[in-house]
Parts: sequence; C-alpha cells; structure tokens
Amino acid sequence: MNGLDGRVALVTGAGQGIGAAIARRLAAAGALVAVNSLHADKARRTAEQVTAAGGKAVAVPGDVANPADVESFITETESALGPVEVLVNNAAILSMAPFVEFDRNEFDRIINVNLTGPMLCTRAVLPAMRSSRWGRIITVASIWGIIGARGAAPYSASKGGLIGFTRALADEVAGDGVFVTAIAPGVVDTPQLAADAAFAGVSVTEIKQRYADDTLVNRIATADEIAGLIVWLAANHTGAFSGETVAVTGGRSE
Amino acid sequence: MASDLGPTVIAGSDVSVVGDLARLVPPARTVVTVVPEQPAAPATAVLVSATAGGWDAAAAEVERAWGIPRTLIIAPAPVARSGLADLAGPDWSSALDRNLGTAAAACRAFAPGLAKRPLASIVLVTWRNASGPGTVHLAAVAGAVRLFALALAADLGDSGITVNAVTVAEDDLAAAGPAVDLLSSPDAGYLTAEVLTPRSAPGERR
Repeated sequence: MNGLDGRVALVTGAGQGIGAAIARRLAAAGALVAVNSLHADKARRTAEQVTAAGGKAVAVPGDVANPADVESFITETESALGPVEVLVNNAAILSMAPFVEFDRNEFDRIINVNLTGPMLCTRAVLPAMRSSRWGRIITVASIWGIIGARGAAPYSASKGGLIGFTRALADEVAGDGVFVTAIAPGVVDTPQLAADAAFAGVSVTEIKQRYADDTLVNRIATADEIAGLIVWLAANHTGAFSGETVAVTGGRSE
Repeated sequence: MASDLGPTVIAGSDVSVVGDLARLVPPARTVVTVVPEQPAAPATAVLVSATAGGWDAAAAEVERAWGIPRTLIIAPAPVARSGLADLAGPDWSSALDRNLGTAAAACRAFAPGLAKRPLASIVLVTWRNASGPGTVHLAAVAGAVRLFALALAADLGDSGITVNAVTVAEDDLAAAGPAVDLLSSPDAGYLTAEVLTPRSAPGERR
C-alpha cells in the first residue's frame, strides 16, 4: 500500500542526516519532494541525490525560523510541485552547555528554529491541506523532549513543546482530514552527535558506543531507519496515531 | 504454506478477540491463530491443549506447518467489571491468567523460534485503562501486560526481537490494526519497549 504516489512533500532540514534520508525515502515512495535546508548547497545536494535515484525533487532553501523565508520557500514549492500535502518538520539545531551557562541568544535561537519554525511551516501549509481535506504533518521531536537531557535544556524544551503542539493541533484539524503525528527518536547516527561528544569531552566514536550501550538493542539508530518509520506513518495509518508521539529509541534507558 | 516473511501468529485465550484481531491483519499475510478452543474458522488455527506443555506443543506445530513466525501478536481477553470486594476472587485470577498468564506462556513458547529470524517482533495488545467503578481488575491486567512487555523487550533485546505493547479501548479493538501493521513492518525495526495508543477516530481525546 502506498498513499504517497504523486503527493507533494516538504521536508525541512533535509540537507543532511535524518532530513536527507526522509527526502530520499519519500521520493522512493513516489512523492514529489521539496528539499529545504538553511544551506542552499546542502538542499541542492539532497535534491540532486533524489533526482539521480529517479525521483522528483526541488531545492527550496531558507530559514524555518524566519517568517519571510518560510513564506518564500513554501511559495517556491507550490510553484514547482503544487500545494504541500505532506509536511515533515525536521529542521533542528542542537548545542549543549550547562543551563546556567547558556547564552540567552543561543537559547532563543534553538527555540526559534526547533519550535517556532515548525509552527510557522505548519501554519503556512494548513490552509491548503484543510481545503483539500487531506494532509499529513509529521514532526521530528526527540526522546529528549520526553525525558530531558543534561546539558540540553533549550533543546529538550523545544522538543517537549513540539510534542504538546502535535497533540493540540491534531485535535483541531482531524475533522479536516489532516493528521498530525510526532516521532521521538533516541540517538541517531547523524552529524549532530559531534555536539554531544564535545559536551561530554569524548570522541564521536566513544559517544556512539556510550549511547549504544544505553539501548536494549545495543546500537544507535541510522537516519534511514527513522526516515523509514516517518514515511510509513505518512503513507499508511497516520490517522490512528494523530496526536501521538511515537518514541523510537531501540529501548530507552531512563 | 510459509511466506517469505513467516506467518503472523495471533495467540490468546479468547477465541472471539483472537478472531477479530486476525481480521485486522492485511490479507497478503499468512495468519495462524493459536487458541484454547475450536474457533469458528479453523483453517489456520492451532489449538492449545490444557497440558503443562500445551503452548510449547502449539509453537512446535506452528513452526512445523507454517514455518518460523516473524510476528507474534498476543490478544487480550475481556475483563469483567468487579468491585473491590471481589479482588483476589475467581474473577481476579481468571483475568490475570487469561491475559498476563497467556502472554507469558505464548511468549516463552514462541521466542526461541522468533530469535532465529531477523526483524522478529512481539506485539502485546492489551486494554486501555477505563475510568469508573469496577475497573480494578482491568487496570491491574492492563498495567501488568504493559510492564511485562517493557521487561520482555529488555530480556529479548540481544536476540533481535522487538517487543512492544498496544493499548486499545475495550470497544475499539479495531484501533489495534494500524499499530500491529506498523510494529510488524520492517520499518519499525528500531521501535522496541514502547507502548502505542492508537485510536480509530482521529481527534478524539483519550
């Protein structure tokens, strides 16, 4: 079963890591993909990878935390592919420090990108989804938004906010055929692990091993695994999970 | 007639609920039900005898006839409303035995086979908590099965078997379908030790 053939999907933060994997998976499932990234070169690179694999994609760079940018890249998406039917709110940043040492501007930047950004993107695509009575909004939260993480207070707060946002919005728009779901990955093998390693004062290899040891399956997730689950939710039974946050952690260690 | 993915086994102590869950599995998959009494449609049913080795024998029969399962789904059994005065009475024992006891016996019998397959999964479907008087047995059963699932996930993590629980309202067993579908998908290979709470009607508060 594939409910994505010909659907227009926008993936934010798709220049690398989980977002790039989501873009590739969506295209493989038949979706027409708009690849957003803050960095135009990275957005282009992912779009080229999708195209090279036989999919259809366009690069729509821009900052999700900037309302003018959001309006611009969603307009570009609509012009190139059509109205957004599947939105994957993936763009996020992570920096780590003890809370009392966190620079206020950095705190605000994390909240703006990770929490305000998804709200801006969601608000921009909702009218078209509601009028067509079909839409899928999947937001990438984090297990740290549920359990919190030492050294990541603003990131944890932003992801926890997304989980509440998902629940509230799902109830508002379910009657319009728009389903809203979040997933909360555990540790995923992405470039962001460098921030964790630096905070812990160890190598990236060491931090990966530590995180793997904390799971029940003795490994961290790959970006492709998380992407596969997101695409499954978009393509299949999102309605059953609307409002839910599905944690994907390999067995969390709390 | 084993499929490449292996059969989906649905085990439980209530024939009716097992049958309802079997109808939620996509038709392309081979479904084998494992139940303690003769079901209405016995074509792919294995009966569990009331002997000490009943579940082990049933698992062996499934593997012999259909191949090693890839997914084991545990079906809940209805729980009667009972007040505090009946706590620890026959209803209490029956509710626990038909839910937690069956889950434990079936998982113990099928886990060795599942461990031989990549991407094997166990899905324990149980009831969502209900409010109001008379729900102490239901709460105990649901809580026990959920925590059993989480503990079993830890025990079986090294063997590559994912274990998750799915909770559904007593009048919304159909909501288990999407969750079972997801958890038996190869895309859910990193999803373990979680409790999913699907619902049939999106937008309704839990």
